[in-house]
Amino acid sequence: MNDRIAKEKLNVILVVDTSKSMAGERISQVNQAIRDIKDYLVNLQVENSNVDFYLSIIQFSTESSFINDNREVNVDKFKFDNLKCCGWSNLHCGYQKLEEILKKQSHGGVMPDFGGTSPIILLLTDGHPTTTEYKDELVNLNNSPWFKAAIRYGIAIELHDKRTMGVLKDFVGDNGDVIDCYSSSMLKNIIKIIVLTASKVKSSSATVGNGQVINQNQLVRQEINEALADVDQWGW
Amino acid sequence: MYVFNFSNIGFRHINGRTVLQDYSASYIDNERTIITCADGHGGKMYIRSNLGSKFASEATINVLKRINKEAISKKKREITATSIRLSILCEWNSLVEQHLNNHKIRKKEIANLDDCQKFELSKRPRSAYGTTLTGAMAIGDKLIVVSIGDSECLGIKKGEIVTIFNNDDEPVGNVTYSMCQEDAFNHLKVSIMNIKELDGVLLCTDGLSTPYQSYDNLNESFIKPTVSRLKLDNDYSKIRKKIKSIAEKEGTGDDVTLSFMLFDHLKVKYYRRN
Repeated sequence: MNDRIAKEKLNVILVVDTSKSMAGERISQVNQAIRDIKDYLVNLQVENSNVDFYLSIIQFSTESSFINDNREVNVDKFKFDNLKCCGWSNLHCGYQKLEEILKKQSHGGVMPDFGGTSPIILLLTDGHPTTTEYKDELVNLNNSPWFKAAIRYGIAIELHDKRTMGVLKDFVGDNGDVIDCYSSSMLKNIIKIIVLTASKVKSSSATVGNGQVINQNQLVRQEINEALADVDQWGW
Repeated sequence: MYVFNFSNIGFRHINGRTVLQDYSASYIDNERTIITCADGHGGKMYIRSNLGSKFASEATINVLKRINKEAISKKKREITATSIRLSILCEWNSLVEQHLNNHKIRKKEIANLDDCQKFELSKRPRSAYGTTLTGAMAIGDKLIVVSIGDSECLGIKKGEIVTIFNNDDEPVGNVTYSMCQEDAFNHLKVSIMNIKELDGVLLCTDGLSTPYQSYDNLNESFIKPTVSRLKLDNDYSKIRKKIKSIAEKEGTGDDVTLSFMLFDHLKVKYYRRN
């Protein structure tokens, strides 16, 4: 820490299905959304003296990896090559990567040992996981204090399948919502609404006192719901 | 032995015209040295958390003063640890009750609360005094450490931080266990160890630890320079000046508290910065 006001760290984590079915319009919307999010968060970071934003992008298909092998990177230094799609949809591999980073720094994760703001996590998928191993991995995730505290959103891309909606609902639990994106042309804007609204609300109240985080997550959900309600007026 | 405690109000509380909600104390007699550090909650509902932290500190000193060397012999250690947890909570609740009896919560104090918070306080008025607590006592060749909530209890040994309690399952992101909760007994931890296991023990509120983010950074940027300078010039005023600067300028704006005791066997060579 130097002679400056210390900043809180706010992690924005995207878990993106890059299996074969996501190819084409879907992944190109996701790629554009990530670029736009990056630009917005850089500006928000400059404007906001309280918070530094860190981005983590986890892609999962047959295997899972962090974009550019970076488990997290400050938005200012974030470089992005388009995500490409192929293979199966092994969600459990994505969950494993998520669990890997949702630990304190002293335990090998990216979350601070002291303090910290609960992260924003977004899971995007257009189909049911290839195997059922994701259930066991979700149990592990639910044991992580940072996962429990995180605001979590699931985006169902052109899904008309209750079983897969159930997977997303289990992921968000009581700490977020599942958004039905019934046309991939909307995907970019839906991702942006969620990430940008949550980042704005969380960064503006990042140093509230003890016991306020639950109210803060409710406030995020309320703001996102209001923003999404205006979706029809956006003229997409 | 070097013994220190100091609290400084943070710039957010100065700007918001609230009071210092942290509290720290130290106590020394022929047999023992005790330090405490408590962080009164900052949420709107905790209207008397500055007193809660003071009472937590007083309760800890009162209870630990009654512990003798015999009580921490190996055979009695477990019973003593349970008794300390229970006694500190009883003592704190008793101090809070007494204060509430003499100073009923006034309308003016709750004017800024919403109906839900007012209802909550009317049901459980001791919530107004919500606070974390950490404390440590050196007695003979033993060390007793107590903790509830997100204030830090850090041991140091040969230039490294040693975590005294496993806090992996503690809440994160501005949520903390508190002296005021119904099941506080389940979250108040006590550890009894040999002094030789550590070079010293540091207690601090999150106003000090949060800006440093990681154990490594806290150790290299704050603990090592603090320990090595103190051993060199014996000047506590420099530490107070640094804490004041973190609270009023460099940190997150939260109140900042540090208490520590450094044992005579500490060797300064381990605390030179890498």
